[in-house]
Amino acid sequence: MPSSNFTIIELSGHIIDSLTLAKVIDKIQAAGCEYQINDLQIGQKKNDISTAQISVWTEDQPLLTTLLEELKPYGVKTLMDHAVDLEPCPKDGVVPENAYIRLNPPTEILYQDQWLPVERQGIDLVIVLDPKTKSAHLQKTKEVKQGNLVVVGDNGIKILPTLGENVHAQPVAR
Amino acid sequence: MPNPLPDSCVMKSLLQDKSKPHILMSPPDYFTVAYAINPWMTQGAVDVDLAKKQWENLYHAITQKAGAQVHLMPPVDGLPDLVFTANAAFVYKDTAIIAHYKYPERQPEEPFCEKWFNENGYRTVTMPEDLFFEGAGDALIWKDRVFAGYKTRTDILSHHIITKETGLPVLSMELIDSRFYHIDVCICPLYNDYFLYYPEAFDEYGKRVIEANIPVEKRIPVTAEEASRFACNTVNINNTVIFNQGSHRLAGVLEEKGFQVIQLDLSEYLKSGGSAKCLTLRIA
Repeated sequence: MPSSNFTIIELSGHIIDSLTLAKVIDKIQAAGCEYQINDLQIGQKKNDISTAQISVWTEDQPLLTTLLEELKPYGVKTLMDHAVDLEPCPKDGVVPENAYIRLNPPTEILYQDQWLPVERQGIDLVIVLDPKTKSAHLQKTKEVKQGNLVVVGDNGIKILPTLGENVHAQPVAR
Repeated sequence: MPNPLPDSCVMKSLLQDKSKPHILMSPPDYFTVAYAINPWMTQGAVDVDLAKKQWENLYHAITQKAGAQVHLMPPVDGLPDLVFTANAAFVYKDTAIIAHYKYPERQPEEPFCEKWFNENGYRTVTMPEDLFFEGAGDALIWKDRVFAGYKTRTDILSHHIITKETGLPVLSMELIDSRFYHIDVCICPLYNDYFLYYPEAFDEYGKRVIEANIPVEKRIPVTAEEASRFACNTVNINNTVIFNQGSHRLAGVLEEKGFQVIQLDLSEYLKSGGSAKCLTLRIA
């Protein structure tokens, strides 16, 4: 699945009682796009708002662009405008405070408008970006070098669950 | 023409005077159809003298027959739609969320509305520059919740600010017919929890929201013909309803439910896409 055909949207408000979430999902399906609800925070009290984050993807990039325009009046925001945040390691073996600790599933990061696959698999590793080669890999915390650019925060990170060889991977936003 | 302009302590007196409802109106001294920002504004010139007479009849019905107190916002030369005070703000208790109009033609009204509410003791809230919100024209309270329109004039994201500033939950209702460009021309919450509405102004989602929130015995649907006469744009004060003339079937339905119905000729305001309720704003 080409990364440029993927996005993450968010909508909030009284989206359950107003049926706005149902309407948005119906419009995504009617447009022929695929979707997955990544996160749904439902307000507990009457005056609490709810928030949904949804991954949306399709083979057809113009279709996605058209859909996102159509969804704007419903308060839908696109979260994928944010590139990944990077910070240099302060010294050897020390990662920035807010380093993104990589879990097991395959991951991509958004850097200079391009989704880069993160090489290697593993647990409790940080993502190091090489801006010269535009490549990203995982590294153990104790192995980082001073000045290594490490992914921090949650922006521009896409997790691809492992679903088996014959199953098309569905992206999950983080 | 009714006289007194509000003094500087209106809010204080409003809060003290709970004996009657308080309504904000603005005399139609400069009312005309000077531009076309809705499908109704193409019906020819306004008869200015007739418009003044019709406004005075409404004022009289509200004050003398419905027993409400009317406060007046001064009219401003060059702002013909200031007469439609329903759009000036959404008012809940002492908070007034000031309109931010979609069309530039009406945006010059905003500072005059904000000034009036500030001078009369309300806590005023203004919208961010990029969010349009057209006051009580697009936000109406039924019981403990707000039915709020969006897409034609008001942005759905402005509904968050209603909740944030008032604590009221908001049911966001998409308006799908450009003739019914504000929610106050297609629904009207009434006394005793009745709910007047024109179902075809909403899509299937909106209809389901109404059905989920309003018990069937409280729903009063209007016909397409009644909706086109602005039957939903009703002033409701206790058990008195005031709307544009010609909806006799509806008048009978309401009378059966115990309402006193007053039908007025408001033809000159229909040329601007407004009617009785658009000319008023409940402020206390």
